[in-house]
Amino acid sequence: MILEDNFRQDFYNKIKKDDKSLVLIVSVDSDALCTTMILTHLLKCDDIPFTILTVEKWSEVEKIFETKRELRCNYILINCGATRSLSRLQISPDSTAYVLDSHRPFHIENVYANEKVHLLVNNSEMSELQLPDVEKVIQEDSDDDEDNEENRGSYEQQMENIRRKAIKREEMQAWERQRQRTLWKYYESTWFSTPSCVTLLELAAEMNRVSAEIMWYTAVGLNSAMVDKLISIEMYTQICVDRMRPFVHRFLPKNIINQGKVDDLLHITFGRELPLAIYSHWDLYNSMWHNEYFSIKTKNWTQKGDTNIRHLLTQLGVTLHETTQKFESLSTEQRIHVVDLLEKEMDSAFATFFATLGYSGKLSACDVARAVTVRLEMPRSETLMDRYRAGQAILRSSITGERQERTNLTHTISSNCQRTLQVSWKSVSAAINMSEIIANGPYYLFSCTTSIDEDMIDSRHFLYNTTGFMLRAFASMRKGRTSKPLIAMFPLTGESAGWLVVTGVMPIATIYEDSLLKTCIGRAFERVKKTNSSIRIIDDSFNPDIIRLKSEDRTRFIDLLRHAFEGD
Amino acid sequence: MNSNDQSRGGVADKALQLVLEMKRNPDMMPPYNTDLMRQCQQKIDELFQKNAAEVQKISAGLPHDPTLLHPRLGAMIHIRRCMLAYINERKNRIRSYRWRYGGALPVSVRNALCDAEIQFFNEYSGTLARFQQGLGEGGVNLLLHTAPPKTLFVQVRSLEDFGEFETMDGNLVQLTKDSLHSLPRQDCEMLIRQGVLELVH
Repeated sequence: MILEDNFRQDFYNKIKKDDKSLVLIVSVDSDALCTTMILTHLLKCDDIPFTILTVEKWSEVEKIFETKRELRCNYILINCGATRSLSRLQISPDSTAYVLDSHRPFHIENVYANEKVHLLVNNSEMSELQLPDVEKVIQEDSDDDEDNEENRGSYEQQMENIRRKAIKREEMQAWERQRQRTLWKYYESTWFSTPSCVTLLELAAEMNRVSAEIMWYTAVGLNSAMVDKLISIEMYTQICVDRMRPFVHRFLPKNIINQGKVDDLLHITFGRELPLAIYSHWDLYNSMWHNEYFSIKTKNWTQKGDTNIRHLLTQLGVTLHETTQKFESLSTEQRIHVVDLLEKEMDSAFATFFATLGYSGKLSACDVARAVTVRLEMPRSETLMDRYRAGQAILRSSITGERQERTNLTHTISSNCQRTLQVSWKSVSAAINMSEIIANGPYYLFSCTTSIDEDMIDSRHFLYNTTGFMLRAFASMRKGRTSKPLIAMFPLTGESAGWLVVTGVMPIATIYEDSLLKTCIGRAFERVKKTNSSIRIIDDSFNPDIIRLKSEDRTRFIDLLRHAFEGD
Repeated sequence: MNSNDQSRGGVADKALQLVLEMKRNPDMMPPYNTDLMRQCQQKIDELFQKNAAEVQKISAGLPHDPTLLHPRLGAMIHIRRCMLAYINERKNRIRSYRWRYGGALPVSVRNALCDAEIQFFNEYSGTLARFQQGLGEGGVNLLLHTAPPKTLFVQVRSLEDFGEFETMDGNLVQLTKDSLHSLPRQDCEMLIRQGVLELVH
């Protein structure tokens, strides 16, 4: 069942008035974390007790529902649960599940067949969903009563009955075929819609409970989707313009000045920013070196790479001295000048949010989103809840002035984020230098031979960024490489040795066409699994295009995937 | 005042020293200064004797010098006031130790107290215990609620699989390992002390 509008009435007030216990099932990603922060703030204001459970895989969600079967609960699933049917989970009759998920498309049973599941969707998105009509996909079983009259009547009537039945069966089969076709089209590609935190921000605004903190959490959540390459820059800008605009002006210094002291108040500004990852916490040279745009432009994985990048810097008129020292230690004029030059060079329309608090430096939501995402996904040796709490601490530290917490944030940025970028760049350069990417019929295949940290391979942030970067870099080497998708395989080590992590990106040509970044890779994987069930695949992730595959089944998988793509 | 002229000190110097001793050690309990206290007492005695002698002269009609009568009285009152301040400050500190350390004093503090002070401490503990017993039905441990709660609810993290837990308002909560909960403060205080839950901020 879809809740389209009026979330305050249909969603929030309901959970507020019910005396059932409230369970938040939170997927561990930055958007979900930000959403939970906002939601728990609202709940705390109303003194509603709640429980937070963190999940990372489908099996964990199933386990939660299994253990809680006899309890009367209201469940809120955040960034998980919409894409698979929740009917199978046997939600107890007194319980209700509310799903706030940015994964698309919804499972059709969640939309039509299950009254206990409520999906929260912004009504502006309904046209994008392209939901098939109910009668086309859900069968109504009301035709049974005619069977009883079979024995009565003359021979002709019986014949008539039989004929009618035959016609009906025929119709049923046609309907079934039609249904398959409709569903195939519906499920063909998966994509991400507006991050959930934006919906929650609007809900908070409706209740007059927006504060600078909530605004900042939303900004970070929105940027994390952008950083993870879940939504395109067009969509990002559109969300900023359409849905964030009423809030952007509220926490500007201009508006706060009237209230007195500006220095120690948190204010949030919205402005242009270089799409260079964490450059303000690094030096420009390194940041450019590992950046997708500059790396591809100078082809710095080749032997001439270093010369090329120096050449580029000379052309731009930036001195080496400026680029190799820490960005923070440059003088203000230099900083503005260099950023200006690079902005012109990169020609991007990227704008983001900045938080300023007292005398501690300005932080961009983009950098914080990166830090939170990386901290949430690594290291795997920590339990899920520990990582969740650490991510929460980092998110909070970005807007509190405490020194200890600030150091924690900058440490994460300067160690984990930088390392992720370096590893990402290294795997791309190794893949291209050693020509590990091969064309395999309708797609390119990359099998990683070097061993990469398991922490990285399990991180969605790393996988999406690296494969996207890799395909672009690969396409830049020769013309005509823009029409095929790239499938990447990374071997796992340690405990789960013998398994591969498989993911994929859509061809570059389609990325330009489509602002939703739809991908059919997940569908292809699913099809392979269906056609040959002996292949050992674990598709436990919330993202259908990240799966685990047993190494021995690799060759068969590659062949079948080829058929799957050719069949499309 | 002739004797004081030689040492060039004030009449209440010793008394001031007592007060300063407390002021200079705000974090610890200095040992009870019996010596200084006695000296202050003697000073008051001495001043009193001098005044008494003067008064006797007046009543006997002998030649006398009444100018110093009032200053001496003022000095006596001042010294007494300093001594009382010293004792009062010590008393306040001892009381705060009861709230901080409970019934048993650490040795370092105990050694710094005089017998009367230890007796005061014991009496104070007894009174407090009796007061707590008298509150409500089973008594209230006031030491648990020293800071006023900012919210009715606290965020806790479950450290073990505890199972179902019923809050006062009848809600059932499943406490599984590594789950976060927001629960009424009074309900989870017990579990926090048992080590099942952990406060998070």
